[in-house]
Formats: sequence, C-alpha cells, structure tokens
Amino acid sequence: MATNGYKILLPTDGSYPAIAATVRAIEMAKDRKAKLIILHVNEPITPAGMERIAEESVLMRTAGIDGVAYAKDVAAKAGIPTEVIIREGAVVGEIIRTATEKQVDIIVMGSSTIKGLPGLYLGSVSRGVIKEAPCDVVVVKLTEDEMKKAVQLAQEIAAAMKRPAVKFDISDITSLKKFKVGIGLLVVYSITYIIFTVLGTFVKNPDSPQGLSFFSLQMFGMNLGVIFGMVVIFMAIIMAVAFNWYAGRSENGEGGE
Amino acid sequence: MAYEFKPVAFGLFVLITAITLVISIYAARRVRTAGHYYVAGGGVKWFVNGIAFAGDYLSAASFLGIAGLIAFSGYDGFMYAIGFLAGWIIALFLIAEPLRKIGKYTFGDALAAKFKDRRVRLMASISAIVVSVFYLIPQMVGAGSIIQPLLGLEYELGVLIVGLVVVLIVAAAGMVSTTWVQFIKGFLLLFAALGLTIGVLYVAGMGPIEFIGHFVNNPSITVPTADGGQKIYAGEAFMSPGIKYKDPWDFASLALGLILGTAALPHILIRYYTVPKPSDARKSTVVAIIAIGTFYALVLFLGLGANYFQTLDPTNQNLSAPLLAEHIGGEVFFAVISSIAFATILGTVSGLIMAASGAIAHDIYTEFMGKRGDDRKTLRVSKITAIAVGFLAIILGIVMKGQNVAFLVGLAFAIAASANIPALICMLFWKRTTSQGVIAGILVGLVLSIGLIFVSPTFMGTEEALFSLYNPGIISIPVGFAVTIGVSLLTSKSNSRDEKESNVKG
Repeated sequence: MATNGYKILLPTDGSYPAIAATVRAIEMAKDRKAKLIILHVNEPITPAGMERIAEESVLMRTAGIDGVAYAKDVAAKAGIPTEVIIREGAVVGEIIRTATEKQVDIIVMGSSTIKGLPGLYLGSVSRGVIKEAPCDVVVVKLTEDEMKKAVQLAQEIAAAMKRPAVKFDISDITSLKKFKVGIGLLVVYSITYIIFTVLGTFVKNPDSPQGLSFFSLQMFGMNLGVIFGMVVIFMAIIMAVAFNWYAGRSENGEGGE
Repeated sequence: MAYEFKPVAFGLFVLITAITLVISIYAARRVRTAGHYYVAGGGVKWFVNGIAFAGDYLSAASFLGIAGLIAFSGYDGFMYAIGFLAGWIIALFLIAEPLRKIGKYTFGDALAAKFKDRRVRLMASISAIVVSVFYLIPQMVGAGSIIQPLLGLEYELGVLIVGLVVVLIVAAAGMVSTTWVQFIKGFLLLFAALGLTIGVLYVAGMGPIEFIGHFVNNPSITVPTADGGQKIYAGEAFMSPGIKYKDPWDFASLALGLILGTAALPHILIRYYTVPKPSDARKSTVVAIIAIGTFYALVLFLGLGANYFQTLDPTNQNLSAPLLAEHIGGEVFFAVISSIAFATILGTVSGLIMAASGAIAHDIYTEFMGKRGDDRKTLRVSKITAIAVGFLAIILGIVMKGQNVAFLVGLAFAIAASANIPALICMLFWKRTTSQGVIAGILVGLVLSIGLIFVSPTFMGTEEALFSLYNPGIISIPVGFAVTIGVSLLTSKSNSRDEKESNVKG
C-alpha cells in the first residue's frame, strides 16, 4: 500500500490502553493510507524495582505482551507500512521528540485507565503529551466491548508469539576481559575478607592471658582489629574505583558499550 | 528506661516525615508528566542512583542496629558492618552485570525466563515473600524503637501505629516512592552520620585515632544490662572480636551470610535498571560502595560514642545512635536524626509490603494460578495481601521486641543467601542447571535456614538450643548449593532427552 506521506505515531508499552490505541491507530492508518511509526520508550527512571513490580501488579498496566511486536504484527496483517523506534528516556519527552523529528501528523495513544487516588498519584502520560505535542493527539478510549475484543486479540497473539528463551552464557557478557578482571578483584577481596574473618575469630593473641583474638594486638595507638577493619573498608572503595577506571578505559577503547 | 513525650521533637518529626512523603508523591508524579520533559529526559544520573543505593541499603539496620551493636558488643558490631559492605563487592563483580544482561527486572523474572516452568516462578516468589517478611521484622522493630522515646509511648503501641500508617498508605494508593526520595534519604543519612561523628569527637575533645586509642587502653568499659546491672570489659577485649560471638564459627557463619546476602536481595539488584546504560549501573555501584564504606567507617565512631557518653538503653540497643544525637545536639538534633531514620524505615517497609503483595498478586495469583484479565480481583488480592502482610509484620515486630535490628537483618540476609544465591549463581554460570534443581535448591535453602533459626539460641535460649549458632548461613548456604547441583545432575539427562524429542516434533 502506498502512503501519501501521512504519518501516525503510536507510542506503546504493551499495556491494555496501548493495545487499544494500537487497534485504533491501525484503523486510522488504513483509512488515511498512512505510515505507522511504532515507538517504544524504555524509561530509565522506573520507580525503584520493587515498587515497579508492585505498581504493575496493582494497576495491571501491562498486558504481558510485547507492545511493539503486537503492533507490527497487526499492522502487517492490515498491510500497513511500519517503522519501529526504540528510545530510552522519559516517556513524555521521547514521544514529543520523536513526533517532532519525524514530523508526524498525529499521535495516537492510550489513556491510562487508572482511576481514583492512584491515578492522581501517578499522573498521566497522555496529559503530558497533549500539553507538549507539536501536532494533533488522539487519546483512545475504547468502549468496554471493544476493549474486551482488543484484549482477547492481544492474548491470542501473545500466545502465538512464542517468546524466545533467554539464552545466557558467560561469553555473552559485553567484555569477557573486563569480567575476568572483575572476578580477579573479587577473588583478591574475598581472600582478604576470609583472612580478616579467620584472623579476627580463630587466631589468638599469643600475649593475651584471656585468649583474646589476634586483633587485640596494638599498633600505632590503635589495635590491629580497627586498623585491619578500616583497611578492608577502604580496600573495597579503592577496588571499586579502580575497576570503574579500568572498565571505563576499556569501554572507551572499544568505542563504548 | 522511661521516655517522656517531647513536643518540639515530635513536631519536627512529623514535619520531616510529611516532607518526605510529599517529595515522594511529587517525584512519583514528575516521572510521568510533562514536567519531566524539562529535565531533558536524561534519566537517572549514575551518581544519584549510587546514593539512592546507599539510601536503600542503609536502612534501619545500619544506622540504628550496627551503632547499637558496637555500643554494646564493641568490635563484633564493626565486623558486622564490614560484612555488609563486602556483600557489595560480590554484587558489583559477579552478579550485577550478568543479571542486567539477561534484561529482566527480578531474580524471579530471570529464573522464569530461563526455565519455562511455572513452578520456578512460584518458588522464586515464595522466596521473595519470605525474605521480605523477614526483612520487615527489623524495620518494624526499628520503627517501634524510635517512636518510643519520641512520643513516650509503649514500644508495642509504636509498632502498631507505624504498621497501620504504612498499611494505610499501601492499601489506599500504593507507595510509589522514587529514586529521588531514596537519594535524599541516602544523603541525609550520610550527613547525619558525618555530623554525629564530628560532634562525638568534638565533645569528647579527641582526634579519631586518639578516640579509638582511648577505648583500646581503657581498663574498664561499662555496658549496662537489661536487669539494671552492668558488665565491665577490658578495653582490649571490647575492641576485639568475641563479646557477642563467643564461638568463632558463629561469626564465620554470619560473615558468609552477609557477604552472599546482599547479592540475593532483589530490591538492591533492581536498581541496576534505573540508569540508562550498563556503564552507569557500574558507576552507580561504585558510588554506592564509596558511600556505604564511608558510612560504615563512621558508624564505628557512632557506636563507640554512644558507649563513651553512655547514651545507652539496655532494653533497646537500637536507640544508641538517636540517644547519642540527643546528648550531642539536644532535642532538635535528636528529632532530626530520628526522623531521617524513620523516613528511611517508612520507605523500606512500604516497599517490602508492596513487594510481598506484588509477588502474591502478580506472580502467584496472575501468573501461576492463571487468573489473568480480571484486574479488579487482582487489585483486591494485592490489597488484601498488603494488609495481611502488614499485620503479620506488626505481630512479628512486637514478638521480636528488644532484639538488635542489625542482628535481625543478618538473619534475613542468611535466608536470602541460602534460598536465592545457589539458584542465581548456578543459573548464571552453570549450563547444566535444571528447573528441578533450582526449585529443590530454593525450597531446601528456605526451609533449612528458617528451621535452623527457630532451633537456634535466638528462639530457644542458649541452654536448650538444638543448633548452637545464631546465624544458619554456614550450614544452609552450602546445603542449598549441594541440593541445586545434585538435583540438576540427576534431572539433566531426562530433560535433555525431552528437549530432543520436542525438537523432533517441532
């Protein structure tokens, strides 16, 4: 299908509202012979992990499927040309940036269905986009029936889209050499920590009649325990800084991660 | 020790707590609104994330618990602090980057993605719930401890109030505190520790080395006991290991649990996903290690300072640092320090309750039981769970009255390390790990570590205890590994046959 240059931007995160918006965006793209730009924003500011999971489960924001794959799949079936953009950043900001850069004609997006206090608490992406957008914004609100159908379709597609198993092995790590250096430092630190624990608890001070540990020996007006303890603390800091310096250098050398 | 109601302190305390809550609500909104667009969509800076790590980690245990342990048990408390720090080195070098590479958010998610077995997710979420509940106990004990001198209320009433407030917050809206809030808390904690340390040295009129030397060479260091008496230690004994842990194996067990526990705490590892790039994740870990290391170097002076000025409540070790603050800087300083500690606890408790209810509602109810699609019911399940976990935490907090917070956290670390570390390490670094191995490993690690705690001197008293060590780590962690590896070896053959068959069919 040839497009007449009309561009629709569809931001999606795989949530139910986004699935709903996908359905509408594709209908609109068909009518207007438009190109569909599918945007997914990885938000680096997620609420700290546990809160994120809790939020997801409490609000059920995700339909548990890959929103981009879903949109691509449905668009392909309808014969609509698509472009996929994955961005990282603040959701609203990235949507606006993409819309400006791609000079889209319209943004089609879902409205969060969070009601009541949590809705007030979380704010809303759509509100932010409407406020900042350089073009028209359509906030999709499906009827309950349409929503049910969309969800059902989404789940069918999710079931059909077998997610590839995550295959991980150690060689996949960005830089094996860097990882080996890390393991090396870890071994050195672990040995120091083990020596620290063993000296402190199992080895006795030969001069002590009460059988105190080695750490009760004195040096420079302090005892060995405090000196050794501070060494273990500062060693952790120095190793971490050194590893960071090394990793930063090797990344720059390799042209960054 | 009896405490009176302190109106000025209480007023300040309410104010600071309220400010923290407002910031957390504001920050949570900001993340998702246009406002965030104006900060250039840059994401969390690694420095902010690093301090937030410290804010997350240095909760009740470090500030209240370790200072108290050092004040009452001398050097053994300091060894605790070093163990807590050592855990970060493992997290930095061994776990963080590979786990981030898998690209999942939680330990359970990573396991579920690798082994497509619903039972793995179930086991991981059960483990998450148990660890959360055990981590909740010290937070509740810490919160109750702080309320006591502020309001002059009974400890039990304090725990109840804190629990109800948190349950209300969680059940009504869901606590979406953000990185920024943790960042502010982390910074305040660091400054509080630094300020208190300087105050201690200034009031004592000694330099840092001289101050420690004073303890080492003091022939009689007094520690009050709960029955109104006091114990006297020679300085060299107080400043070397052995006062809390008479049996060296006890400390070895604790050390193992602490060093492996950090990397097994899902809410710590999760923070690697809040920065834009893997290199930022690494940098923020380094910031965290610097911040936490500095804090633990300072906490030695806080604990010793509490002993020096005898700001000790023998019925509640956790009050050593706040009472020291009161001695050094009066009621206002006391209120500020207590509020910072309290705000940290509030955030951590809400987060833990959310995590536990999230695990039940998301992992067990939705994923395992397959109740997908009915949002209202899921929401209700998670709210009911949050309330139930909240009340469980209140009860456990009251039962554990008087226990040292750092000690209780040590138990939570041991459970986390026993249940999760074998699964995590094997999954990342050993190809032959099977889902059955992981399930058996988590189950055995969980049951064994908790079982050993219940027959330990903590619950049964020193005389009757069936297991003589306070911390189960040295037994339960290796057993967890052995079971994970053993069961994996036993089941790997039949699994590979299954895979081949399914390949032929596919």
